[in-house]
Amino acid sequence: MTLGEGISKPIKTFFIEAGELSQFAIRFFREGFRPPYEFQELLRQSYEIGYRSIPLVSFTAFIMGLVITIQSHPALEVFGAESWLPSIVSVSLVREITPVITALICAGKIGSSIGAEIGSMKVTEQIDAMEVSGTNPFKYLVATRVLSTTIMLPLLVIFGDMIALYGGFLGVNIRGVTTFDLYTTQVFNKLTFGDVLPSIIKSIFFGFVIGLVGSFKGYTTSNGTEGVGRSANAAVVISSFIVFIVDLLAAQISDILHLL
Amino acid sequence: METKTNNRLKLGIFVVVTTLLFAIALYKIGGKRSMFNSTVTINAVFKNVNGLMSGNNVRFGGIEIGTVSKVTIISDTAIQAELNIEKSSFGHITSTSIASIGTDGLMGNKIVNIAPGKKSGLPLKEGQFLLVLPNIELDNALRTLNKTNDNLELITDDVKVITSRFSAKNTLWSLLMDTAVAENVKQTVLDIRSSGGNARKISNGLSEMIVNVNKGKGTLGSLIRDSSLYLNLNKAAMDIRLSSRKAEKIAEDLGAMSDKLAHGEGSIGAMLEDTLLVRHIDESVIDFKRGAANFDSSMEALKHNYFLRKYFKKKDQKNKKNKTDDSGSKN
Amino acid sequence: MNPMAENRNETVIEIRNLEKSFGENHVLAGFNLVVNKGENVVVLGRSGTGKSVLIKCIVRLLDPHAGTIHVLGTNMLDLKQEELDNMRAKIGFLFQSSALYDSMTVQENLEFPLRRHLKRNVKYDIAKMVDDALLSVGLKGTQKMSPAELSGGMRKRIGIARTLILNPEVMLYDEPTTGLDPVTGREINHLMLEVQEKFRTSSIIISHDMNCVRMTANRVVVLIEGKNYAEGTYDDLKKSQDKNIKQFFD
Repeated sequence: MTLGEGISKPIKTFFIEAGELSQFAIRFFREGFRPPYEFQELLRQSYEIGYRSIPLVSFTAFIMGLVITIQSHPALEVFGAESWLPSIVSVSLVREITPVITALICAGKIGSSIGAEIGSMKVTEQIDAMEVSGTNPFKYLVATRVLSTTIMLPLLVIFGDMIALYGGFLGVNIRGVTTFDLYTTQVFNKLTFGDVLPSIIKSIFFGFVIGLVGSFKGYTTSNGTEGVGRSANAAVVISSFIVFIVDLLAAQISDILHLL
Repeated sequence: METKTNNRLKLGIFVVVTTLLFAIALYKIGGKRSMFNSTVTINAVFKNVNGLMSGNNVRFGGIEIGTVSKVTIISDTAIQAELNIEKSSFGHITSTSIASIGTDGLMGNKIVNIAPGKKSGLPLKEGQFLLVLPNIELDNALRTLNKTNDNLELITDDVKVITSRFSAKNTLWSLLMDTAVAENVKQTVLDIRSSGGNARKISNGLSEMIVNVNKGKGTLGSLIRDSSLYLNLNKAAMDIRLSSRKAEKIAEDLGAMSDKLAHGEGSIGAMLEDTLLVRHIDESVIDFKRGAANFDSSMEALKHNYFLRKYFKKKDQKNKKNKTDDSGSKN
Repeated sequence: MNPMAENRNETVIEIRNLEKSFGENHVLAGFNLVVNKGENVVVLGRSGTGKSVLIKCIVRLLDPHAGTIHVLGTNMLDLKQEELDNMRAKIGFLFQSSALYDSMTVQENLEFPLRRHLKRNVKYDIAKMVDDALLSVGLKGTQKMSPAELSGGMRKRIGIARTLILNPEVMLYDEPTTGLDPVTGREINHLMLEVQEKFRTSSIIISHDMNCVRMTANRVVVLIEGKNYAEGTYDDLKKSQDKNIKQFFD
């Protein structure tokens, strides 16, 4: 009551939200790994979140790979370094573009659907119904989804990497001829663990953020069906925002650890 | 139930395929770093490692065979690099193999090049030391080339003075009285010859390099192919070749003249009558001077191109001693 | 048609001085209620007067600030999670919106409460349990349908079936006829009476639908300003001259 007085309302709301989200995350770690495990639901969610996102992720990754290659070509051509195209493009794709684009796409697709699904379950009392039927809805709904996104996003990023690199291969071949063999050799010659591992580790965090924020917004939905829409929207906006912050931190941390 | 199983199957395929792809990619990336291969460690001691770090690649005849695992200072003039060499390639390294530090590509990743020795040696054993080639800096090489060029210019000036004296009839006799002139001319001719020879060597080296570059050997090759650097390089080679040819011509002419001078007074008159010869020498000298000036500017352009470091090192390193000796004696 | 008579003295639910507030809004302010075995008690009140809050407190979906709740002799406010889950299995809860799980079929909806309440080493015929539950709400053979395909009345029935599958001793109905047409509403009222008879349940029915009250109530409690304002049979209250009570009957 006394704390926060004199602070403007949006700022106060922001801090309250941040606090609640942290609490929600702590609850995930406290309850999510305790038996009984909702393994069936985890599998179902992994299918929904992971497998069903393949087409969208593939499409965007392919386009990104192709476009980045085409766009980088003139710059390298001036420099006379076209043969560096595969290496340079692959590094930027693997390190930054694919993880972030995949995370943003998933924040849009998965984050909003989690926010809307759990939100509508909340307002139609399905969550209460679960609670009274002896199933912990937090574990059944939230923990499974957060775990699924955390596991699935890195896999989607790896998958997206492959597709993006293939897009890059086509991009290289729009001007000039490079065999697939030479392309892969050049790509893998340049890539290091320092490129790949931080990118996979950060996508684990991206996945966690997307699942957590989506579930949080859904779980705290109020004001009926109108609230459901707002939750879905906020889930996308907030998780995209946090994805960028995590990305920034990841870049800094891997820099400090000399992984870049 | 049916669809549930189906979905799980799809999920399973996705997870397994992606994980496999990831494992393959990691292996491909790791293979390069000799992570999954058993390796043998050998050492090389350099005076200056030019920023070599652990993790830099080791090449044998241009093929990657290992990585640098550690770089330590063992004394004020000795830096020891520990090299992890793949077992499969290790057998080719002998006691006469020579290690040198080079640059990979443009951006300055250092590499250790191991070249097979000229003579066959015993296979190296784990922990033994490689022979090491001293590093030659590009700047040094360019400086030497410059000096040679300056010398060429000096010589042509000398020659010009001599020929102008020849042309001036009033000083003819005093010139002829001076017996030292003949000696002078002779010495000059010798100098020009050796300079011309040097210049030819340089130009050959550059040509060879251009051929390599044209073939697109390595990333350097492909980089140079389109750039203005290539043009500069080509021009420099041509200039040098032209100059050396001119120098040879002058040397020939002067040689002929000095021969005539040395052989009896009877022919002196005839020789001096031969204004054609005088003009010929004159023209040659002017041409040569122009050639030298061209070469000078080309050289200047090259000097600013540090990309060529590696090539200059290799190609000019053999010429270096001769050249410095020659030009040194001249100065 | 008066099953409460035989077990008049056996108390199933006992609520004493229940208090619950949201911020400054004191929804329940010392509410008392006793439900006897086999009795249908209707809690009557206007929207937003905390009727739903009351039954949500009973199953601990909400935690009251003060007061006591005893169900079947067990203090509901002093239970560990596992004990609470076991108590909840004995209490059927029909939500206002039916709260069927949209992503599941009817079959899966009915199986859901069983996941945590079946004993490990006993073999159950789950298909038959589902079948029986559906039969008792008159919706046999709808196992494969999804909630989206069901009408409002059917959803309520499935909702009831989902609670019946665990053979509850107490039923809590949250506005069972709200949002239904009068005919369907009447069907649901009949169903509630059938359940009462067949499963010998004691019920609290939250409603402001007077048809529902008239048909199902053995006793009516009027909830006004967080307190039990009046209590009696439907007919008793109908005769009342209190304007707060009269407004429900007009």
